[in-house]
Amino acid sequence: MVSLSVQNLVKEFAGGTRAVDGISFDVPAGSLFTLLGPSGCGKTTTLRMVAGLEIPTSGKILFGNEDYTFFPPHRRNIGMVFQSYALFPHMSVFENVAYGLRVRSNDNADVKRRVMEALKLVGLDYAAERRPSQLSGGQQQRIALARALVYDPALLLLDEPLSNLDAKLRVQMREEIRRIQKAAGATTLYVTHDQEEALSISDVVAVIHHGRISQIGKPHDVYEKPVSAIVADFIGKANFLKCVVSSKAGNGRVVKVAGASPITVSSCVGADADFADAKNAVLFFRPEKAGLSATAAGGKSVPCTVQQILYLGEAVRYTAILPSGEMAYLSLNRRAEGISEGSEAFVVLEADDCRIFPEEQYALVKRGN
Amino acid sequence: MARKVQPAGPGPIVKKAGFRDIDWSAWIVLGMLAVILVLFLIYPIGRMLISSFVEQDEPISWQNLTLYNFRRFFTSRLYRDAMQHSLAVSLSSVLFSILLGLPLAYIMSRIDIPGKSVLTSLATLPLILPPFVGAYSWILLLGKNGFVTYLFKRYLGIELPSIYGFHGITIAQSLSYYPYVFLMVQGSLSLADPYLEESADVMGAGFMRKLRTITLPLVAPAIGGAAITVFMKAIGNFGVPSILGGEYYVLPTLIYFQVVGYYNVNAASAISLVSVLFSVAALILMQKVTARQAAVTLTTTTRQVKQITNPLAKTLGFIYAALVILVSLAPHITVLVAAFSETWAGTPWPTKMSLANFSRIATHALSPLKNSLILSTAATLVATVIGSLAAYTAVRRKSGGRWIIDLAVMLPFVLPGIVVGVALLTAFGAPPFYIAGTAYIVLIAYVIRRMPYVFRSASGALQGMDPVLEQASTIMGAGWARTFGRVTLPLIAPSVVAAGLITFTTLIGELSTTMMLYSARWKTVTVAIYEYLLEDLLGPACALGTVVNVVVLIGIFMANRLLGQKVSNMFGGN
Repeated sequence: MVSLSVQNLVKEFAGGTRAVDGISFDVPAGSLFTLLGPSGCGKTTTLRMVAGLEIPTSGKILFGNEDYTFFPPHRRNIGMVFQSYALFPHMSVFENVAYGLRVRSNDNADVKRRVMEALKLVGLDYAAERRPSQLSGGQQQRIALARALVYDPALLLLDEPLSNLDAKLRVQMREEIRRIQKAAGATTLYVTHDQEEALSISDVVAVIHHGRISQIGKPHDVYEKPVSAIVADFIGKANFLKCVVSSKAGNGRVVKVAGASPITVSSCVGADADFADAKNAVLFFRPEKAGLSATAAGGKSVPCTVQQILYLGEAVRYTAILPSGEMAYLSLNRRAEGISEGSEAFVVLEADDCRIFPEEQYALVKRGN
Repeated sequence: MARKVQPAGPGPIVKKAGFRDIDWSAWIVLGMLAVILVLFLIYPIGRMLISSFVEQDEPISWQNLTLYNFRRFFTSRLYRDAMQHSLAVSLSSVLFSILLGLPLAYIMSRIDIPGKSVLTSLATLPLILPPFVGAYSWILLLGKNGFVTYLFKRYLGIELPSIYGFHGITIAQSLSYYPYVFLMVQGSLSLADPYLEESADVMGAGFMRKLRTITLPLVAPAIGGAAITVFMKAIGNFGVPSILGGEYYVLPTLIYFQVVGYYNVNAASAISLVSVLFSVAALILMQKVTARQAAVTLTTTTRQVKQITNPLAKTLGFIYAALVILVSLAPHITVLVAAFSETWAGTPWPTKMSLANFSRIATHALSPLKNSLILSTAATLVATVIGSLAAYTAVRRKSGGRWIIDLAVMLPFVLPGIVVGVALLTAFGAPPFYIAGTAYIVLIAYVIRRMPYVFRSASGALQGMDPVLEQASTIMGAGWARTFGRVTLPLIAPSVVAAGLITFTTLIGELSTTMMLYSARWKTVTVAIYEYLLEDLLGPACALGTVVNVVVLIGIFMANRLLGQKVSNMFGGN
């Protein structure tokens, strides 16, 4: 296994569109790194450049310390799982998995042994003689994984490997992929648009928007400490409220939300100048990090009218209208006592669970970035 | 490429991309096609173009350039008539093909009649069997001593007009070409969104109004495309008018007459150019029509359109379909019967059945049969290899030079077979490349004429194949040669082999180009049939025609097994 280093990668397509606009990241040997972003953000193009299927306009791709930027794909010693799996329909499962080994070795006994090992790793050794078309989607997915790992590639690339599976299987398979990746110790680059998948499977996540990395970090950091409103909005569910900074409070600020008493927030993300007194800003919190109460609590509550209550089984979702006219969504794990649709109540915000972003990011989020 | 398993890590991998990593295939294929294009298409066409501006037996030079050959279209009655005849029989063939094919297409796609798949296969047969093999049996049916002529005279007292000339050619061509209209319109009808007709129903439109306002406008582009296809086929057809024309000359027979009668290649070149002008005009029209076709909404539902189940409609529909198909197959059935009859002239039925015709051709026609098999097989192999490589390059490689492929594929479509013959004859019947009279010139003609068909079939298969499969192979370490051999080729093989089989069947029955280029040593089976006909030996001609038909049907059967139902589409899509 080697480490992967991508440095300042740019891909410009004919017509001048920059699909990838200066992306840099490092993947330590044996870890799983995920590129996460909406469709068209450049994550798949980045992966295809690492695979050698696209040639970068500029930038470098290093495997270990070796420059592989312009290396032909069949000499890169990588394994890849495609979105559509790309299993060869005219070959048996065994021959599919053996394909990469046969390129590298003439030793039939060795090929057979290693194919069966790989099939056992994904739990499909009994299906060796079947055709791919005789397998279910999940089984095909595992064959594609076995085929990519069987020759111990320097790097494993996964391009939206779960997007063709139904929701339940997707959850099951991502645990499976993580288990197999750890067992094989493969340095892995994973591409997905599904944030839950990215958070659950990765060692490190890079969030990409418009061909650039917005944030790189461990899954819980990206979720709980987003560095911009755009990241906060893309990952998980987010509430944004307009506010005005009224004073400093340690590293945080005290802010004023329309119709509520001043609220304390522990962290602000951005330049100090953006959060000077009387500046407009945007207050962010996750639906499950706020509470709902029939009574006000000083320094952390905003009055609201409960508009709708949806019972979802594992959670109860409240839609509340604030005095400013903004909506807030709350996700509680039990019903709030004495509150029904139409009730007047208070949204309770803990200082540590809230962040504020500069005002101009609010407009970007509202535009639906 | 390293043969041992590479240990993990980049260490042992060769660092720089070497000569063997670069994909030279695209350049090799493009180079090969460029040579073919220049040597066997552009050069012959150019030679033909220049020859047409020079009088017979004059050397090519600036002083000798003249419009004499073209002026004859105004001065010579023979030329003027041939041009008018060509237009007349081609347009009337288009008209009758539509009159026969359009109702059949409607019946087969909208009325619930029994035996549909059998009827469809039978209706495709006239396209598959060589048209000129069927053409001469019209003499047995409608000739002076023909079976039908006899019936009319005996029981109705009607004297039928002579089969030779306008009537005969129109009848034979319409009955061979109507399946184009049938297949293309049926395809369009079955793709049209069934909800369109149903919503017209709901809004209260009656049957005729629905037909006029919805159904026909939807399939109009298909009718137009089919009409142009028939026109191009008919105006380039040599076999049928050469057998049923008599003194009634059309452009292809006039070309043949000039070459074989006077060895006047210059006049033949001029006539060829005029004939090509008509084809080009038709093709341009075709592109306009197909461009409009793209605007037609095709269905995305898999729901079948509702069938008419009214018993009267079913009965009438079935009778019509069966009748049209029976009449169009009558010549082929006649060929079969005549092949086994010893005497059949002036009588309603053959008076004696025997294998005499076959024993006769066994002594005379074995070597033409062998020649045909050799030439067709060799040309098929070459056309298949070149055609599929060209398709691979065009679909998978985004290198420059795509226009080379387009031109090499497009030109043979515009040129009627007999014109290809004339062009090759002008180019290779004189130094520096003197190969007229050899088998090679026939092979070259066959290859350039048929390569586009393989190209179409293979590029269709490639476009239907996800390029991700090839990328997966590359990622796993296979170079392009291994990827092509292990992944691409096996996956497109059925389409390529089927296209090869179909190419082979069309070459076995090829007459027009062969007529211009064959030599005594390399006489083909179609030429042998033609010679029997010149000697009025209809029996042996039918026996040999039957042999050709059997070979053709075996080829089509095998292609069908490989591809399923797609074979008829391949013919219909020309």
